[in-house]
Amino acid sequence: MALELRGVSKRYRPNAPFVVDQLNLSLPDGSLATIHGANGCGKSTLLRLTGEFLRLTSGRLNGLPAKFGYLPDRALPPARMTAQDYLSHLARLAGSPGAAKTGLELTERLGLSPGPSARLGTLSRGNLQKLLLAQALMRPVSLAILDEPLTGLDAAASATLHTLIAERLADGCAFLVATHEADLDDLGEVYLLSDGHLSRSA
Amino acid sequence: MAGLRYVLAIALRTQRWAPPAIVLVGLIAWAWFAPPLMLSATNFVALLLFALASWLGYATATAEDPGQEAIAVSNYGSYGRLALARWAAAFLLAAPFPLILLFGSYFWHAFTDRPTLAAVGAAGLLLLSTAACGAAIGALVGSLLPTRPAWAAALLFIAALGEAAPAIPPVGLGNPTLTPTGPEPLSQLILAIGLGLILAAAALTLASWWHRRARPGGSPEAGQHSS
Repeated sequence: MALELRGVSKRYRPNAPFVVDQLNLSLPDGSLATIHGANGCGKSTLLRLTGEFLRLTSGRLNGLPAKFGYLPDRALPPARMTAQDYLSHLARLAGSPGAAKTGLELTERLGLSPGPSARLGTLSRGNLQKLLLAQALMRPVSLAILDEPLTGLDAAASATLHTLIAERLADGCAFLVATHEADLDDLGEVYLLSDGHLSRSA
Repeated sequence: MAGLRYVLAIALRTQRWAPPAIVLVGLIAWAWFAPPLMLSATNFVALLLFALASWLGYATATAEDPGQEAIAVSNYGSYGRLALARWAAAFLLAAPFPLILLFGSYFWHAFTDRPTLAAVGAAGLLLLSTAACGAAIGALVGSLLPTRPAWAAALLFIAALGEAAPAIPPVGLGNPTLTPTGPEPLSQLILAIGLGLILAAAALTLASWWHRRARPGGSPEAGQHSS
């Protein structure tokens, strides 16, 4: 079992309503759970809780590895750094410097058009998303948490991402994905988050 | 080491921290070289170093936007390690310049009061403790006020002024012990340096705890953070 959420709840202030309420989810190795839901329903909160970037109000999280792949719903990487340097730094942080080469290959597969020497501040929304996806998928991890991975991607890159995730699933990596799109639904279980509760989608 | 390289790469490319840091480095140089050069110049320089280190601690703690910070943590394995790397980066950026001035002045016989090597070494240790403490206080303020640099600067300025008070470690407590013949009393200097390091450890621990509690890689206000 890669990851397990048991009775997970979150509210941001003591008397505020629960954004996530008594939520249970099991994510075995090599499985994918896609979370759908309206804007502001708590998808990003759920993913941040899962990555321990937010403190749980109550509940338990089991099996979160120390290092995992993570794509936040928004991020501003250092504008003056090049794509190559960015991937190299993150790969070294992860203790696997060789992963930067894999990261660069992933950016090529996803179609990062300006190339690895482009400064991050000059990248378009879609190209930045490709780079952020590359850093999340460049290492052999047991868990990847992707928040809106398809945002800004063109049709070709979306199809490539589908293939990449399928490859990682075959390697045993578990995925937790929040998205409005249905592109990844065929790869695993689909859930709907509404009023803080998670239900399996038909 | 990878964390330190990462933080330095981010901080040195951001450069938001540079103008105040350049002013403080200039003030340190001015305070040091204002004649006659005596070991007592360390007193004022230590206060300026505290301000410099705390500003750099704040700057390195807030150089990334929350989303990028979460990416770094997911790669590095823990926020605590990243916080330590940030503190180390601030410390390494702040500490060398005053130490070069201090030991350079000693070895080039620029002091008019001819301090002993023991006295210069004691002053050096006090400066190191000051830089460590300042960087940690800056990191703490960075976790308390990540999106309010003006308030943070005001708070850090007050903290630096507070360091001038006689009993406050490490500067206020340690400065009076620096005499040209050696630290006097030695026990007070050791206490000042030790308390400075304890203060640094406490501030870093508190910064990590508070960060986890209040400013994780994405509270609802995370998008308002401007880096």
